[in-house]
Amino acid sequence: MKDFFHRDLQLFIDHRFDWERYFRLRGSSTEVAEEVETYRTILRTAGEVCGDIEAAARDHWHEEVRLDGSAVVVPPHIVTGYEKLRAAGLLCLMVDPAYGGYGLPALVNCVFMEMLSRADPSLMTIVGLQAGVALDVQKYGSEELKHRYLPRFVSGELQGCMDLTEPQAGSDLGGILTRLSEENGRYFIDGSKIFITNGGADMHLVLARDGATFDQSRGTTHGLSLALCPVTLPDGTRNRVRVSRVERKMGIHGSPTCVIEFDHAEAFLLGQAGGGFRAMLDLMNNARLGVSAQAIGIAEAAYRAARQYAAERVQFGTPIIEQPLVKSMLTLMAINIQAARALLYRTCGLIDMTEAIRRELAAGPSAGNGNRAALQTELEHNVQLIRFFTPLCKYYATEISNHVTRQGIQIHGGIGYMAETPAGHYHSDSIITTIYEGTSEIQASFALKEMSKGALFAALETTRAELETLRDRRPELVAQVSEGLRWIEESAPALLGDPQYALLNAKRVCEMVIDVVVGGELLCLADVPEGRPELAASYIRRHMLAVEMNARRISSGDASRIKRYDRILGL
Amino acid sequence: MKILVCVKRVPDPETVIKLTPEGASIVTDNVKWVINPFDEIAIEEALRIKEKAAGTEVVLLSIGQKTAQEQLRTGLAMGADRAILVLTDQVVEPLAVARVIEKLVGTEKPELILMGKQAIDDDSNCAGQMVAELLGWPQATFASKVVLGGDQKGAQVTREVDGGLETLAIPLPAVVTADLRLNEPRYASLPGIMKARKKELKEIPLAELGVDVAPRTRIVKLETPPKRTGGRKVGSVQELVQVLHDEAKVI
Ligand SMILES: Cc1cc2nc3c(=O)[nH]c(=O)nc-3n(C[C@H](O)[C@H](O)[C@H](O)COP(=O)(O)OP(=O)(O)OC[C@H]3O[C@@H](n4cnc5c(N)ncnc54)[C@H](O)[C@@H]3O)c2cc1C
Repeated sequence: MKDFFHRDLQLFIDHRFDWERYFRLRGSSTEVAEEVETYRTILRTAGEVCGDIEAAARDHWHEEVRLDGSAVVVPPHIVTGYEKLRAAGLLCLMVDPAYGGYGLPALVNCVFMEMLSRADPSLMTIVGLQAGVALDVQKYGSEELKHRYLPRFVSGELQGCMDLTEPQAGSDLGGILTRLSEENGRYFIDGSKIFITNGGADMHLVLARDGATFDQSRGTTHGLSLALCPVTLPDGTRNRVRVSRVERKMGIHGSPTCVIEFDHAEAFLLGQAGGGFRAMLDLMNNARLGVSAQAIGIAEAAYRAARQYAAERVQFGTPIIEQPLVKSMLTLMAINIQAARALLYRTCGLIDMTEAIRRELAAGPSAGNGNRAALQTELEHNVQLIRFFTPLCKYYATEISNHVTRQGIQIHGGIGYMAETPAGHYHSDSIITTIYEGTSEIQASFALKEMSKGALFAALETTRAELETLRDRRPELVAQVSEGLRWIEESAPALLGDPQYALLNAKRVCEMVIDVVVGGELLCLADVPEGRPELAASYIRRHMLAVEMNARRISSGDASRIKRYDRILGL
Repeated sequence: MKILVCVKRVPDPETVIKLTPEGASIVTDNVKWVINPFDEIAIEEALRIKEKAAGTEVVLLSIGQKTAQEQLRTGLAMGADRAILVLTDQVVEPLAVARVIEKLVGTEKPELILMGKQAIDDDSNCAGQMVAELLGWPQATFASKVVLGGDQKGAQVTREVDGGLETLAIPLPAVVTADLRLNEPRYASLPGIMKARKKELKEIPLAELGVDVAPRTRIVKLETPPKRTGGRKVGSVQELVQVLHDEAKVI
């Protein structure tokens, strides 16, 4: 049960990333094979720590966070788990060595996040946010802030949280009313935030409206600033920020969800005043990949539990796993999980390679690694794909996680509905993933926006080119995915004309794109040693039919469909 | 002070072991390999001694195939200083292991040899004892507590023996083998893994040592334990006593 860094995860490290090129671009002189082996060792060890954390997380799943005065008290198993990770040095893996970190790639970090979430998705939120806040400080903070805080994030001394949501500002962050005002070069925050995960953390990353342009910018995402608000100020005094409430929830009980009050709390500006939204998007994109990994980890745990139960539970004289309908549910769970991984780890790989290219370009013309113009073009192409794939990952991984965990309950039958059975816990934990860091609907509409800016064709072209390299080996499956591509291109015009109709179909188009991109990815993975050719074939057969159905549905209608819905709803 | 810790690569106790058709060995495909759990405890103990006594060097030793590098690297990542891998593809029996260790002690000159009380693959439980005998050193096996003297000239070792604990005072150099309750080994840490890459891992072909490692035994057959059958309910205490007496013949 404890193989956390299992074969289906190793595949992505072993076969879907060009490590040679990555290290060459980064100007690293190390032995590549040795470097990658170190990453594997880290993940193996991390997997062992996760295996160790898992049991307590299952046993104490119901335990809630408490508020003691204004101190947030997490259940003991969360404290113990965090301590184990801290002792093993597994916090903030991506922080640059210049600030005491390890500078590990996003791919390695995300695999770790998936494993940790499989063990304990509540603890994962705490660790994930800490790492995310540290990265944003690294990207937008002053040298002074970086030196002051980053080593302490890495050592585990400081935890972090992200404070965006307000009662009137959920999906629409333009509604933010918390104010950041400047007084003689110092910054202060006034207002309150709700639903803040790990709100008892030492460092708040706050999105607030710049006082100087407050009235003009109201209702928009312009004029938002990003600020770092420590609970303890550098001179050792306590800042005027506090937790006034913790929520009770249907899942991730070990993860605090808090209301935060800022009463003229001092903060440090990150980036430009009024330019915070861009910086926040950066952080959110990171966090979206984190939530994708979280969703997959929960799904993996649910799948394993269901698979084991199905092999043991006997009805009608045989284990239920022998029932075709049960077998089919389990198979679908396995396929969906690997499909979501394919998209997520593809995106992580793109991020890492793009970062390496960026470094190479920044190193100046003397670095002499190939044609700079070509690298620049590749960089722009990748950035476009990353912006497109990130919401797709979040949408897909979290939606399949909801589905997989739901099927997990179904396979358990009545016992799955009982409060003490983990099957139900996985589902309760999974549901949050489609909501925070932007709901599924918001992800779909973000992706749609990127599509209209040209990302759709860039993505399709990339997949088409990859398919060609596989055509000789797998002609039939390549033909099916190519057919999927054709259906997408055929239905696209019906969307381009009408933004409302496009929005109505946003999830549908996202799913179509995911189906072909993932189909291509799984094909690439089919023929590697210990690959999964049957899984790829099964995915492609199933999903290319879905692409066709969605394409026909899109082509067959127009915005008048919305009017019909109005009548159904009595609007 | 120098501590030599012996490390064996064994199948993870959690892997399901399958026998080969001939029945004299196990199927090694898809087996996850780990440090023998008792050896891991021995490493941990060495590291704890090192943390208390500055200037202590912890040297790991493994005998086996090149793949054992993985386990040695893990030990280095836990905090050991350097490692030696004696390379061989053949099966090395406890006596051969003991002779290799004896040979390396000649060059390494450790004050303490820490080993697991047994390897969980063949469960021989005799390499440590044989090393002590070959070297003419004192031994303390099944250690559940090790207290090093302040002068580093001796140690007090508590052993788990039938029915209780026994505490021995031994002069150094000595051989100590670790039992389960000696400590709880740490995980290799991320910084440890990074540092381990730069630590020395020396490989020595077994043949170069000129040690007699010819096997003295042959595995004739391996068998898995009989499958457990379900229990059964009895109606009364009377019946239970009857069954235990007549059928199980235990009372
Ligand atoms: C457990 C938990 C932890 C959280 N942690 C944090 C945190 O750490 N930091 C933080 O800042 N926030 C956090 N949040 C807040 C979370 O990000 C928001 O709840 C989420 O973004 C949705 O906002 P909302 O709840 O206001 O829903 P609303 O925005 O009101 O959405 C309600 C429904 O309308 C849909 N909808 C809204 N607008 C559109 C649109 N334009 N197109 C299509 N559909 C739309 C949504 O998809 C949703 O289905 C957390 C929430 C929870 C429950």
